[in-house]
Amino acid sequence: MRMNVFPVRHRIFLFMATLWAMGASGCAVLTPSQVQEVERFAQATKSYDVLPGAVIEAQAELRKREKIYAAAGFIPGDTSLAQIEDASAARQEYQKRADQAERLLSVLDEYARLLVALTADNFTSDLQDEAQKLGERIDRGIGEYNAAYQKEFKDFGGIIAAGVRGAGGLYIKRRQTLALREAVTRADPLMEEMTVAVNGLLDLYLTTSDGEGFIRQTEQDIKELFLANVQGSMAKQPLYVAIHTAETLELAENAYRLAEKARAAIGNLRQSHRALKENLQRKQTLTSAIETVKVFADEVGDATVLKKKLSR
Amino acid sequence: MTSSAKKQALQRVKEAKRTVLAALRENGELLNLQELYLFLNQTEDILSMAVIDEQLANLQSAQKKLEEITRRIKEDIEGLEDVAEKVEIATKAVKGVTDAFKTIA
Repeated sequence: MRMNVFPVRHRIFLFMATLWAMGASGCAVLTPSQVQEVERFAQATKSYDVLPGAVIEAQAELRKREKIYAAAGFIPGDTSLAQIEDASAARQEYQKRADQAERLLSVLDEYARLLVALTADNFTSDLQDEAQKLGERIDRGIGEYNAAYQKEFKDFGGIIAAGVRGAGGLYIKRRQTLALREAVTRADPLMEEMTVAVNGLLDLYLTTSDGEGFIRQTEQDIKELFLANVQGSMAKQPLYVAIHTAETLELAENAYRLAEKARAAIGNLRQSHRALKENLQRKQTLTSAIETVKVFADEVGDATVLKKKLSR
Repeated sequence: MTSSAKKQALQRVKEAKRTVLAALRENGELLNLQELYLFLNQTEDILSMAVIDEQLANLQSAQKKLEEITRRIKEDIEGLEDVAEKVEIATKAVKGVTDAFKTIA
């Protein structure tokens, strides 16, 4: 007959573990809708870092072409060469700024990626694996002990594993919630600061209440240069010049649209982050309370499955 | 020079450049005007880059603070990974006890 010497201890252990987990969690854990909100934010952030830099780059190319039009059209000799050299040098200087913008904005992608990592399930699944190993190891130890001392203590590895998995799982989810809430709350004013800075940058390129931005002005200058060149040559422009001018004006149009999209996207990103912050700070409603209960139930469910698995 | 002063100066340079271009169209290739046009074009770039740099500086200020937050999140993630690692340590400790039983047996 096997001796069941630990039933009371088992119960105390499970009870304490549950109490600890409930106390540590304060009954508020990471819910599926919060995870979903994080994913939505990450989606909004994805690949944003390249957009403002691409606008700077497109405008740099327009400026280069504008200078080359001037050089090719009506500026002779040495002055013309100086203008061409200046066009290339300025293009490179603008490119440095485009690269810098991309580098600075890559922090958004990193931030979103880390939020997703912070809310991932892998912490509890790792715990599941380790708890299972612990339970198996305990049962093996009991077997060894029984063999060494001719005892018949009943295995209790499954119960320990279930306790570790259940309590640990809730503890992890609580820590995830707290870390996420703190990070998002602290980051929110910075998201506002970044949005203002990005809008300030993009407004330089777009038409605003202050007037036309870089793109439209350069586009206009290119048109003026085309007309000046036509007038200077006293004749029609060669076909390739007309085609090149058409491509340049198309580039200007695309650059403008890109700047508009980049501006709209940073607005969406800001809204997504605000929604995430509000979701994390919201007081428990019936829906979120149900979600919280479901998370608890899922954790307990996983723990029970583990216990059964080890009790076979 | 304040931000709005830079923008105003930039606007004036652009206007001056257009005036010079119009004069060139009317008066033909006058070298002085061409050199002035080149000078204004360069000045336009200098001022444009100055206003871009100002916005990038604002962006950098926010970026540095956000970078600090990402550093903390990384620490939190490491802390969460520690939970499973602690159980792993417990498993190893139990293994030590089991091995001791084997030795006794």
